[in-house]
Amino acid sequence: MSDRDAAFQEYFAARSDAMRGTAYLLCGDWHRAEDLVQQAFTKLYLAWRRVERHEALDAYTRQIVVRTFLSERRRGWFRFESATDDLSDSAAPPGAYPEERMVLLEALAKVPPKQRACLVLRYWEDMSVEQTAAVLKCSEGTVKSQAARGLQTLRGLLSQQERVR
Amino acid sequence: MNEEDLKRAFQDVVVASSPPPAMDPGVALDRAHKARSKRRASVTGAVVAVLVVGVGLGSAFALNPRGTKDALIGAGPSSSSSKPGLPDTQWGDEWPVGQSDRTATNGPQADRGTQLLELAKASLPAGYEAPDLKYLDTAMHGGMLRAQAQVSSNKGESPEVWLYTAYVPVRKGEKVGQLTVNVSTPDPRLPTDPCALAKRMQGQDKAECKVVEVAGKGVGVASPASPDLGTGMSASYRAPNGWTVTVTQEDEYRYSGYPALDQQPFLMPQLAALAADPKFLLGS
Repeated sequence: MSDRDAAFQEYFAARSDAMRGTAYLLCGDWHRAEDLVQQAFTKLYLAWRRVERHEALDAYTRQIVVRTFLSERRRGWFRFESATDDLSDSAAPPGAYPEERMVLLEALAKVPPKQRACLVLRYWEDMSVEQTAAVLKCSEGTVKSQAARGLQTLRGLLSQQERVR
Repeated sequence: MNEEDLKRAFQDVVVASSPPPAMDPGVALDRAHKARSKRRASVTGAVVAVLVVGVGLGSAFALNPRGTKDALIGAGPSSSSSKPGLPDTQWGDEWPVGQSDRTATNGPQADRGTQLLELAKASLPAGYEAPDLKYLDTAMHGGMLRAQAQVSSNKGESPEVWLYTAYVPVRKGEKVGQLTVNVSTPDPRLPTDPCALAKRMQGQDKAECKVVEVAGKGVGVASPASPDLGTGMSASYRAPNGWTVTVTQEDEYRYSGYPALDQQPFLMPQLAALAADPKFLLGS
């Protein structure tokens, strides 16, 4: 095995779980999250020689995860998400376990993707406004407003769901 | 909900949603290699295509300087390739018909998940029961006794892989542990070595593992290398037909709010025997 492959495998073993958690919060499905992580690490591998010396592998990989999520979302990959703002109050289908339809995850899936990405980066990854802006390629002001709006949207959705339940 | 609440809620969601076993670095590397080969092939192909088109146009012009169309007609369309070995699942645009994601909530695959749950419930040793408990922790939702059936391959991939999981609360007195049974149809991504499989399913590459022989079958039994990394014990068996079974026992049902069992329900040989029990192959 080449040094590059060994280093890649070692980095994957160390960091793929954390990246998968972030991807899961973005997309709400473990399999999709794994797809996102695999895509991100594949892109990382292709750019390995260029990136590995930068000592910023985590930031680079996380950036690919988030941008891949946003770009797939634009292409309609995440079609399972509801296109409506109305929350369903119908009964869960037989065999669907409520744990998998957790309140927060349901609500999070209805927060617009970029706001969702802001929330996940700021409050799950604990990234600063500046770092979040760099990942999302936007201004710091946009991050602040998107995060505030995302939090507001989430609060509204959660209180709405509380009423439904 | 403030920012601190959201941080805690994110943590709860990730933990409560039963993350699958850790991803395999070897598989990731293999896919990265394929992507690199594909990219190289694309670049080479593009160069070749330019050359071929150039040579072809040059030849056509030489043979047919007046430019009639007939000289440029080549071979007919290539025959389409068949993909043998695909199960008879009817797929929609992205998921099997009737599904909106990877999880089957009804139909034959969901039935297999339910079948697995019943088999797992019936496997507990004397003195233990498998009640349909609810989480005491109000941050958690839903029942603790549950099954799941999900397709883990993508549309068009061969072989099509289905994963069935049964989560069983194991109660003795007031204390509750957990038994998880994971059954996969043949999946070439999973390792063939019993210990590698058990470690992979447990998600701990550095777990301690030994192969236990059960009636001539090798079963990998893995435990965390230190108590800090958990107390679960996983037994994994790969059947000759490629199906894999992993049975994991834990003395606690995490995040349930119930106190943990004083000891795990199965001894190591019993857990290995359970993993190798042909009933979990679901009639395959």
